[in-house]
Amino acid sequence: MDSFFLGISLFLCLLILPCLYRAIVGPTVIDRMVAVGAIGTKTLVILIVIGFLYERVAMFIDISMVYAILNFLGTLAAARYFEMEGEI
Amino acid sequence: MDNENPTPRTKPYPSLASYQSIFSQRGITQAWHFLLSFILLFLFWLLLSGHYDVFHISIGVFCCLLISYSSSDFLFVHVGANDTHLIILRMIAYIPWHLYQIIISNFYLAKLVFSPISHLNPHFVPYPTKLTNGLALVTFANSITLTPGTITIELKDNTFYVHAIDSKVADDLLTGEMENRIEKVFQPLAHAKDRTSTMLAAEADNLIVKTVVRIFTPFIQIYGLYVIAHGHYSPGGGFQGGVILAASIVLLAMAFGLKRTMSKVTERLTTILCSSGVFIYGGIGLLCLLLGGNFLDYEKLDLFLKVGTPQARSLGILGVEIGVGVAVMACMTSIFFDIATAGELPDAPSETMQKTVETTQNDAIPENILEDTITDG
Amino acid sequence: MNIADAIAVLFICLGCFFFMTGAIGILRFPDFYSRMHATGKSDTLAVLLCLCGLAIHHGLCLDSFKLLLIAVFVFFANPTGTHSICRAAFRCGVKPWTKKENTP
Repeated sequence: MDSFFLGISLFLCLLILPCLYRAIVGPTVIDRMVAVGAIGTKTLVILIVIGFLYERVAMFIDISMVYAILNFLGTLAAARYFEMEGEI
Repeated sequence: MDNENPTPRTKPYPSLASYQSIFSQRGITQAWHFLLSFILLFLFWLLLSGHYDVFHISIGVFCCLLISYSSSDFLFVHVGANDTHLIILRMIAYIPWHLYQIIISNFYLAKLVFSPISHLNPHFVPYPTKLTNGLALVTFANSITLTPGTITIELKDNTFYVHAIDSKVADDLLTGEMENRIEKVFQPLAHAKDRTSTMLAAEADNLIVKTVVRIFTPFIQIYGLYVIAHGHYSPGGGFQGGVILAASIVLLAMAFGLKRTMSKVTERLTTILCSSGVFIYGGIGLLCLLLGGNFLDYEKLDLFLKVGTPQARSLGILGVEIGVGVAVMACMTSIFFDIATAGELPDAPSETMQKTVETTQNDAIPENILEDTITDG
Repeated sequence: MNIADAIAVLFICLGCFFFMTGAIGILRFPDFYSRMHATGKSDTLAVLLCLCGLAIHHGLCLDSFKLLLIAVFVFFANPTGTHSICRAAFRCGVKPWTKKENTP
């Protein structure tokens, strides 16, 4: 099962690459924000899988819960900022 | 946060007796909501905690009482006292159908991803809804967003503006099956005109984000308190818990605006909390010095507490964690306020604050985009 | 490998598949709004499936419930975030891609 988890986390790391491409190239700022949000979602799962690999699940669950909250907060903050600025 | 009276004034002045009955009705509703939020938050705490001894459970009861006192009106704004449990039950019955829809349509999206771009036909669809209750509207909006192919862009005057990626998904939405199911979930309230619709008028701008943040905030705060209280078993502790608590306040400021948040969490309050946090931390340290040990030498606290050395050490660490947590929370909040207001207090309205207020109230839809892109699919 | 592990592997693989469609969508789709279609919801379902799979693998204990709690949080938070950022883009006047203009 451990090698399966290792493969999954490597696969998710590979999937970060297209999002990273969009975050670097993305034509507008808001595209970059969305790409970063998508990377955050993948990181959340990777963190828990790492917890399973190191057999310290409880600790990594707490960390990824905070990560989920901050990811949500970041998206809302970006949306709020663009709405107040009125342009991108 | 939300103490404005949401009940509309009845037109003829009511007699004293009817006033009393309204008052007691509201009192009962509030007490019931307080109890329900306490039960929910306490269940959440038990799920998080994992330590079921008297000491930890009593900390949990205290934290839950604190949070449900400070935010008892957060969780159940849009529902009355009588039908809360019914709605929760029907909601649970709604979720499997919803999950099935999500999975089916995600496969559809996967097919779309691998097909040529020319198969896409993105366009905006206006969808007038018959729901009026705030919670029902938010459930519907999030259901639309989760069913792939459609995203709720704007909710204005009881009309959803939906971005559909394809004509097929737009047609699926326009059959109105999802709306009918949600209407059934919120049956007695779905068309309520009195309390809920005035609530809606006050919050019409950004209703979805406001409602979700309102529901999340008490749970995030409980999570922050859990991280503080379990600092010596799990990662985290005072510092991290304080940051999570501050994040919940930042979340409130994001959703409800800086002005409204700062009227509840004032500069004065953050200053007091900040200094009292440092006082708790330094006080425990100095107490150990006075009792003849080193700074923060918790074992010496036993002379004072009489519970045995390990217990005294644990209690001492908990006290320090609480002090650090309170100080960090207040500090982070006040840093956020300082940055967001550019250092100007809201009681002296300045250019920055006024600009903030004006831009948040401005909810004009760029109509030209809508007209350009609303097509028949 | 017992049956619970098999179900867990199935769930996690499905989740990874949806993560992949989201990532490809974010790369291929032509404009901001359609990219939001790809990330906003494929990712929600993918996180849900992955976390459920991990919870099934972990068995019946407190940590599994915490995993489900994160899944529930993401289930409510992700569409809200998607909506709010789409609304911001819409109010800032980001033009959507339409079929009429871009295909002959």
